[in-house]
Amino acid sequence: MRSILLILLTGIFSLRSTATSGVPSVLTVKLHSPVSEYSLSAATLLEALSKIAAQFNLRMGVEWVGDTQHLRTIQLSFKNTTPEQILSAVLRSQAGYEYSVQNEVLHVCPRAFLAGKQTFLDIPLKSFDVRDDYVMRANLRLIELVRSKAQEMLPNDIAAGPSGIGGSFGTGLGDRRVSFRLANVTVREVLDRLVLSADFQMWVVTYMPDKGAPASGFPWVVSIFNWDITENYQPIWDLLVRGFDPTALVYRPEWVPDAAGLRTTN
Amino acid sequence: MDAGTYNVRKATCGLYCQSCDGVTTWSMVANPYALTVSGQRQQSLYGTWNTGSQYDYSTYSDWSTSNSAVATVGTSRVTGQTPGLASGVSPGSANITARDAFTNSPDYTSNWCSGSPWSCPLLYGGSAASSGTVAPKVSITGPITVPLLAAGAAGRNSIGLGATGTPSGGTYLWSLSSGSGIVSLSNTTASTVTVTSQAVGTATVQVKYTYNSQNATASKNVTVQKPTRLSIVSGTSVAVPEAGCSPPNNACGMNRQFQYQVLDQSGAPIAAAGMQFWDKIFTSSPNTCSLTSYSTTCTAYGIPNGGPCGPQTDSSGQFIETLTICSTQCRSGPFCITGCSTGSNQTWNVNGFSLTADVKALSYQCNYVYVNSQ
Repeated sequence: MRSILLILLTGIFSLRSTATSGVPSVLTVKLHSPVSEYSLSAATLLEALSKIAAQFNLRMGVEWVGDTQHLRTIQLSFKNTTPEQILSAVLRSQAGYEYSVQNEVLHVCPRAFLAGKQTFLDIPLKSFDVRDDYVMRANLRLIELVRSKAQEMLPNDIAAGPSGIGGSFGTGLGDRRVSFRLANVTVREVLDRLVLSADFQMWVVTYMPDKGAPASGFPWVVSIFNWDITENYQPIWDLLVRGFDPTALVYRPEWVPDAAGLRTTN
Repeated sequence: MDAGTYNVRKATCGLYCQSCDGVTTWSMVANPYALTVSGQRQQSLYGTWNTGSQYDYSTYSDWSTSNSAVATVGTSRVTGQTPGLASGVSPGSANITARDAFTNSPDYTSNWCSGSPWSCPLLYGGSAASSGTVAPKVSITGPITVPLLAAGAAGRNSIGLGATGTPSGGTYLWSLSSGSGIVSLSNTTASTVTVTSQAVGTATVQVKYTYNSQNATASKNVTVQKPTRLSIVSGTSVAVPEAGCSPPNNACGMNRQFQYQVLDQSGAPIAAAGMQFWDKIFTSSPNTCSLTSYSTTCTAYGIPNGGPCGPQTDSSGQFIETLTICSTQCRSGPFCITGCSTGSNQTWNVNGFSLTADVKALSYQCNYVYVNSQ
């Protein structure tokens, strides 16, 4: 009898959650909250996930395959459902995707596409510190760090001898100054921390298999803002704010039920 | 209230006849009245005397309504109520009546005769009524400005306006009463309409709310703002030395950070979340810091040297800008020095508009980065 009950519970709570002491995590509670009616129309899986994330305020880490061969539109309607059931239906409509919950972040992953492949997200980092800095800036530092780890080279713009580099960096909606220190973590775990630290909704890794493979051996990735990322800029990923439309590349407050509550960086 | 004096105008011996001054007609203002649901208006009862004078009898009158489900009215008989103050409850028709049945309102009496003396006034009281309707009401909430977006560019160019009709359950219809080339509307039969900018100017957006065949309207002016200039928000400038910055070849430099506000064609702030921005930096002279390249993390799409261009302005129409310099020329042994300078120009693009009037002259130095000499 006990084993039957265990099997039933395992079936109900199929998510991998970091919650302890039997208390469901905030994210798990959100995933199981009742939704009386919901319609979803999206040009891509990423757009569908962005809408779901915005609507139900779910923090996500999304790995998806963005080439035309893998792009499928999504049209779904639901009644008396939950965000988890909506998410499951969306992923069932695409071949080979899975999801799990870790670090209060819902991860979506193209398991079939990645079968047998290493990704840069699993690269171990001895430490990653952010001290009173903007999340987007910390994210850029992480990109540089991962590039150096992944390729064992940085884009070498600096010649030997007297040299220097100047630059600019812009950030706005959703960002804020944060401080944290992580030790013995993977890149994926740092990204989780970054989206949880400010008002970003998701990190997005876009695989583009028809571009070939970089010298690092990791799958080729692009940014949703720039689909022509060259090898020097591998790997790359995006941090998106809640309500950002990844197809039209515009902020859509109408996707966010409580948009008025979105904090500013002031 | 003292409405007048009672004046015996005529008396004769034996048969006493007299005329008393007093009210000849009663009237109510407004008649007809018009109210909206939850709206109020002060009704007044007036008595006009035979002398031509008119007096307000509202305060001491009894007020009543023929349909309290539609409109209520305050009366002097109930403590705490304001006599004659009518309130709309729900859409429909109701008559409001006021009656002065007590003192200070004598009727005008002419040639009243009897065998014994009689003093004025002889008769009191009177009343008036007004018919009227209570209409549904509607109000519009939402921003009054919307940013303009250049053709083909990505960024925010729409706002949502919401209408709330009372009572609920009616239908909405949005339209433009002016400015059809300034903005366009979509979702015009929902309670929330999307207003998309088309050209600089001001348009008037109107909503008609219909409940049980009765209409209410409201309108709101919306101004389209074109991103034109940037200003540094006062008090946001921070400069932090960066020793050992990248590149690590014994380099050091400076990190200057501040907040920009996007301004419109008239210099007014554009308070809109979601306007996309990017910049480009070009070296001018001198270049004694030996800067060999610029790393702009938000350049126009497809620029090879640029990273992703994703940032958007926050809800104040502001964004954070960080300018960095890292040079081997800034370091001497273990120390950061201040001996070099590089001139540059920075151009900005917001919502697809090149801010041509806003080219920033940058001066990269080891201990500071100046923007237009500031």
